[in-house]
Amino acid sequence: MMERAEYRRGRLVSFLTALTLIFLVAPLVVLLMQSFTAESYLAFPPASYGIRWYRHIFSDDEWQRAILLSLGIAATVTPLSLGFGTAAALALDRGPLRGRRAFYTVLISPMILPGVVLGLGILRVFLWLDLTDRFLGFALAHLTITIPYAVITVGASLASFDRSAEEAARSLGASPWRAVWHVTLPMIRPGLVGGGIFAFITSFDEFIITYFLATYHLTLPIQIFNSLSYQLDPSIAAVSGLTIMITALLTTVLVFRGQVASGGRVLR
Amino acid sequence: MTAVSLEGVAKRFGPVLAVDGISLAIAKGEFVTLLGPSGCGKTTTLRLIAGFLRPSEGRIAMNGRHIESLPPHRREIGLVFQSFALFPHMTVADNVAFGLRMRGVAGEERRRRVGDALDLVRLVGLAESYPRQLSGGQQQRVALARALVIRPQLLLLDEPFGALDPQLREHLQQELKTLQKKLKLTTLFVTHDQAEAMLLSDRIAIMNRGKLEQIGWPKDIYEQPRSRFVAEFMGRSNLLHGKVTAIENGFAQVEAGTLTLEIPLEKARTGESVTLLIRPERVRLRRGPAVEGIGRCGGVVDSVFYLGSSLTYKVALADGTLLQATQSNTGEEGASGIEQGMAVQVEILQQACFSLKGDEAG
Amino acid sequence: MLWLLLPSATLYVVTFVIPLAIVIVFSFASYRAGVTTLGLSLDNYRAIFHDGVTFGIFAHTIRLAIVITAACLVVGYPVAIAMRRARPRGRLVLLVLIVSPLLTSVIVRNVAWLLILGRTGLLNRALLDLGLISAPLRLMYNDLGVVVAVVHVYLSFMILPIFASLSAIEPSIEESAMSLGATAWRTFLQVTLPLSLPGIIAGSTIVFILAMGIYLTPVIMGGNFVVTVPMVITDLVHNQFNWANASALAVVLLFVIGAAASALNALGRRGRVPS
Repeated sequence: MMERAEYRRGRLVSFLTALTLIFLVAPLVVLLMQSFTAESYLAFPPASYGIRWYRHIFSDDEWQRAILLSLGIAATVTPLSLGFGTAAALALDRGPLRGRRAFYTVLISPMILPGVVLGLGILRVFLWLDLTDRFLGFALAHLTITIPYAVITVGASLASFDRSAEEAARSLGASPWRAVWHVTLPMIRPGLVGGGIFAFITSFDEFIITYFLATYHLTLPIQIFNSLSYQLDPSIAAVSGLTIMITALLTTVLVFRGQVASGGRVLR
Repeated sequence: MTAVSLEGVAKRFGPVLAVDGISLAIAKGEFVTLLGPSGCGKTTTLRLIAGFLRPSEGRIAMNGRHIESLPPHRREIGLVFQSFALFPHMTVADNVAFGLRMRGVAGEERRRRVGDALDLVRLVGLAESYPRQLSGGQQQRVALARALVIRPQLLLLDEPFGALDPQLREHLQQELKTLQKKLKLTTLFVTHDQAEAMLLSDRIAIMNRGKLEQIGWPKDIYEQPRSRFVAEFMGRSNLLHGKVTAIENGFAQVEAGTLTLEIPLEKARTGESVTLLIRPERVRLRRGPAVEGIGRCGGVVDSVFYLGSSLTYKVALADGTLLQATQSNTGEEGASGIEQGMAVQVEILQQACFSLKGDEAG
Repeated sequence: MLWLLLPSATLYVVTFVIPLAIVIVFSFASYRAGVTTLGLSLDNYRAIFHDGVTFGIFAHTIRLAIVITAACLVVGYPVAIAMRRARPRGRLVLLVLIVSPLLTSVIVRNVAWLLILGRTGLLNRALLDLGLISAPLRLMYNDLGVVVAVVHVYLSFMILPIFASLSAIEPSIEESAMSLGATAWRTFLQVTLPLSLPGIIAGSTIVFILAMGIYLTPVIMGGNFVVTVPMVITDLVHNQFNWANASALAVVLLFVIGAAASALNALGRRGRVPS
């Protein structure tokens, strides 16, 4: 009797899950398909397919500038956030226990607080520092909201890290720094890769804070946003499709590299 | 020549005293084991010597130099962990070469020494493999090679064979002993396995609750334990409580229930209470009628345990005391044939038992 | 070792601590005819509570956030269960499917929903073609469109903490309950659900905080019909340079978030099973 109930419940859960997964993934698939339309208007399903609009965005000055700016900021911010974040995570992991919680909360706060509030404050400060609408300003703002990801993923890796390999290295003559560099960091690579990918994507997709800071130099999300009001054509779909493909690639790398490198421990 | 010495070393973690005033001197080329139950402070002591912890009190010296303030990477010590602690992202060869790399040894010399170390632990041909491709025993050998290649002044091993199968463990124990003798390497070994300690050590230091209970040769510790804890940790024992009834020429007669025993006992007084310790292998059983006397009495076999290479008997004496007796399974008439419920002669040799002082007897 | 915190700390002072302080300072400023002057006035705060429109927007934002959080919980919980039940391979696939939407930007997802929920969008066209409706449904430019799109964005943030919590429950606990006579459903209600409370609280806290801060989705999916506090703040700064009122709104927003997080935390602690 119980087995049947279990079976029924199992089916219910599977059904609901399938629905939800479709809900999650379908819109993106729709968009991806839409981006390959050869028509000059947005209509789903596309009457004909082609890469016309991808070619368009890669030859259009405005789109090109926006894509390059977003990529440039993300590429700059990612290694920096990994550096800052790993340093912070190490300090928390190896440092004294008191205050660890507090420091950790402060470190990840920029990720949790509403971007609107941060954008407001950062704009005000950057107006004084003349950092608005500039690459440096964007980078610093993005860095602030990406460091939390590095702290979290690297911190998690460090927490489950078996220190005896590091101690073995130290007993063999490596100073604490050389031990971390040669042994610990390579061994927590999944955490580093994960943090890096989250950082990249967060920066690439960031809208609200950048919106506060930008006037003439537009990142890709802002460009898309503006286009929605005056240029509702498939180039938006193409650009969005491009973003989806980049992030899908990175996600696969994230999940599979992370899975393999950690021996599947997380999911077992 | 003292290679390593600890003087009054203590380590406090907050209110907890993990190591309480340990003093120990290890001679060059000697194999000493720190033996004790979990939580006795042996691993903490090892980590103090390795440099991962700083002593709260006391001094540690190696070859005459005080090292308490030296960081681990400047003490010439080789470490082997129970979890192997190999670098998973490096090949076997790179693992072994790590210490040489840190010391700036490069090129041909590095290659040669790595090869020699792998030869020493009999791991030829696996140099380019990764740790995850190796068995537990092979990994432990790599760990050993890695520690030996830097020619350390001291080799520290923290329960290195704990994670291995019994057969493999025995094998590696023999290999380690052979290697250590050959290299004349000063070695400190930590374990909770008393049999392992006896097999490997020149001297054994037993620890309990942060203190050093006794240190000495395996034979002395086994046959002359200085406290009940040591006695019971080193092996099974029969404990009998009795009273001194007579003293003569350094020998005391002790009455312990049904048994009257004569044991060498200095500074005894008549009427004094003593606790006697008798190892099961020194209790002899014989089929046949019981003859009373010094060290003799009759008993009934309560249970028999067949352990393959030996047999253990529990014998009930007239006053209800249960004595444990162990005998090798030689197949001879005297031993075999003793079954449960049988009446037997119990015989305890004079030299087989000794006393624990009153206050240590627990 | 602690000095390793310095780089992040220095950056944070400039881009986090000081900006937040500035916001608080400016919330006491006065705004008149395009000029903001610093001062110590509570007018901005009074305005929020006494101005019906602003207060209404605040209430509406909170209502939306609650609905979104509840929806994420109801929709996400079964997925977390499914993840826990799956074998490692299946779990990996589920994880990829759940995490990948997380990593596409909000704006991209809104564009996708535009295509689906619009008057001439996929859903309406399909329903019309199938003859199930005679006129296109109003799925956008209202609360419904906003909620659907935001749930889509933040669902993963609810699923993952709940999954983590469920994974921490030893199967033997549920098995014991069942062997003692509880049906699968009762085991779930009396054992699994309470033990997964930490994950529910964590997920709900994250989603609520995020939902209180939505800007893009209500703008795109709600047109001018759905207004949230972040939208008002942005408009005040961009179009009116009214730092005073914007900052006050921001501070109150933070307060509401803080209060909700504390309340949820307290709820979690009260319902915590002693371990």
